[in-house]
Amino acid sequence: MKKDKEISSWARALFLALEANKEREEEIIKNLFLSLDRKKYLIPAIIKKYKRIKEKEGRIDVSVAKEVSEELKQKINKRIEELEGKNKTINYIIEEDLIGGFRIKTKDYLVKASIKDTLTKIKNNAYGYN
Amino acid sequence: MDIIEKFKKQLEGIEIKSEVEETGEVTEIKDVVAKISGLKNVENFELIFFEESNIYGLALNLEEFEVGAVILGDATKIKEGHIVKRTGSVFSINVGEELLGRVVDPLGNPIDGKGEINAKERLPLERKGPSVMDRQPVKEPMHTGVKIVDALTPIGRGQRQLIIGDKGLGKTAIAIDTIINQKNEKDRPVCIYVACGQKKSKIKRLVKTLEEAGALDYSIIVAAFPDDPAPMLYLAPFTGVTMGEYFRDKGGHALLVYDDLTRQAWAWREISLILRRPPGREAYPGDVFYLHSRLLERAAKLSSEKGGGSLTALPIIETQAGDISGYIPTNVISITDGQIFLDSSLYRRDQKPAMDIGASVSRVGSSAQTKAMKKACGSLKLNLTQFQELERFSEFTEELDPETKKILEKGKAIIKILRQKDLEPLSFEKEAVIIYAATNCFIEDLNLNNLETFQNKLFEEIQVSKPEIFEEVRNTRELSDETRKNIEDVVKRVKESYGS
Repeated sequence: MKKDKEISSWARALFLALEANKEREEEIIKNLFLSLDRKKYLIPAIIKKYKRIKEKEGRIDVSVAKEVSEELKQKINKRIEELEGKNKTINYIIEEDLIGGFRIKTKDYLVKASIKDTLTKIKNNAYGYN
Repeated sequence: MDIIEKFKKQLEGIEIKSEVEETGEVTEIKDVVAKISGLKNVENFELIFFEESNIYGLALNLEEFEVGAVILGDATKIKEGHIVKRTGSVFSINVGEELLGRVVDPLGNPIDGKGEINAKERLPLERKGPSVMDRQPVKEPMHTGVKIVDALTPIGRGQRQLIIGDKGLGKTAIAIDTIINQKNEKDRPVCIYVACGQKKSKIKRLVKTLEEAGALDYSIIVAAFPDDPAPMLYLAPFTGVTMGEYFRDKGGHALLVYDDLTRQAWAWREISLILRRPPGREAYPGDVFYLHSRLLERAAKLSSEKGGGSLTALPIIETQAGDISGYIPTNVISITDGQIFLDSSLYRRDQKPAMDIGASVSRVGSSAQTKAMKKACGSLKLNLTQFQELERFSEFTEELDPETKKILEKGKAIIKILRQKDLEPLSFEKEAVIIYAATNCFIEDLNLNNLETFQNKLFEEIQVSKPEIFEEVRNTRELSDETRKNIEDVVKRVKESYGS
């Protein structure tokens, strides 16, 4: 149990360090090896955890109802970059349920701008839920 | 046409625009606790919503990258990767008069099958107790209907009186008697029974008992059962006190029974350990004292400017083998204004209620007694303490001087008179009369076996020959010289009927 916690904190530290100084990757990894010292056997686990953190934190899902043109994608990507910073992998998912519009899901937020969400809102309002 | 118009009206004021919701993702589930990543701006004690499984949760641990939340519902339905939403409101429940006569779970949902509860007002579960300036000293009596309690450890409205003892000694019975006895009281308080980890069969029986006694109409039962998830047990007392506060703040009176707080402490220990908070003594978390103190501080007698309402708390604590020096018992004893200690050796000697007179105290004392009771109990404590001292001593010696013998006989008679069966609470005027008779009318002349029927005979005789005695005591709440003389006369007649 204690080891688990150690691994996640190392992985988290690695993630934060790499996020801030992407160009000094080699140096950071070298430093990690030095600081781990006798606990080098933890490295595979740390890397694994790091990848998972990166996947979770750096991923942004954009759900759209239909395939969008490259041009529009560029525009959306640019706007997301402005808001959430660089180094994010942006995934496009096609969900026909949405009918129109889009949904953007990041780690902390969910932006609802689809026709489905609007309809749900109208339905809820008519039924008298908040 | 009508429908269209109606629909148009409903659609008025809806803003159609994109919405931003703050969300997180479940990363880990440990029994009743979910670890959630994301939920950046969540507040402590905020209600969160698991969207896919339609279950609410409560954010308790805000860590650097994660949020620990307890799940208020079936934890097996929640899976890793489920989306969690903020609701932006602290945990609150619906309160109001509509709850009276109902059985609800700690979230305020009815579980008695009598349909929905349409209580409108909402109050947050976690609130601070009233401040010093908003209070006044406890002075109105809260009659329990149990002779020995009302005589020796009187309870006042706004007091917190602990009922403590081993299992099966009648702790709940005292509380139930108290609830039933409120039926004919002046300014009847609303009674809220919080069952925390009590068996379902027990609650069923309790509801039936209250119904038969006609006490359910002014009672609310908040029930968290042993097979409910631990957060429910943890929340049940808070739900109860929030419902009580509604009546208190309105200027009314409320009586709260927490049955029992040991289970709540266990539930909190369980949650804390899974949340990985550091364990302390007996593995309880460091804030287990605060858990009970903040709950019991909400019991109060409000000042007249605030409406003069009151909230009386009767917490129940179960001990193991009569050990009141355990962690939770000592904590709660130090928080409350006194305790009723039930002793198993007395119970075995058929002394019911098995209250240990020496170890039970009420720190509010006689200021919460009516004048009639004060007069009736004047010499009771002295008699009993003298008796207890001599009783121990007399076990070793055969020969006793007549003075000592007399004290012993009187003590035995009083103890016998103070016995009372379950579910037979006495109204306060009857209590005053019987205790006055026991202390001032030489009932020790009677045979010990005759004493069992003496009480009923006395009440019958008064009803027949001098019913004005009860009437007067009830209305004036005082034992005037004339009434006392009347009681003495009646007692004399009853004694004669026994042939002494």
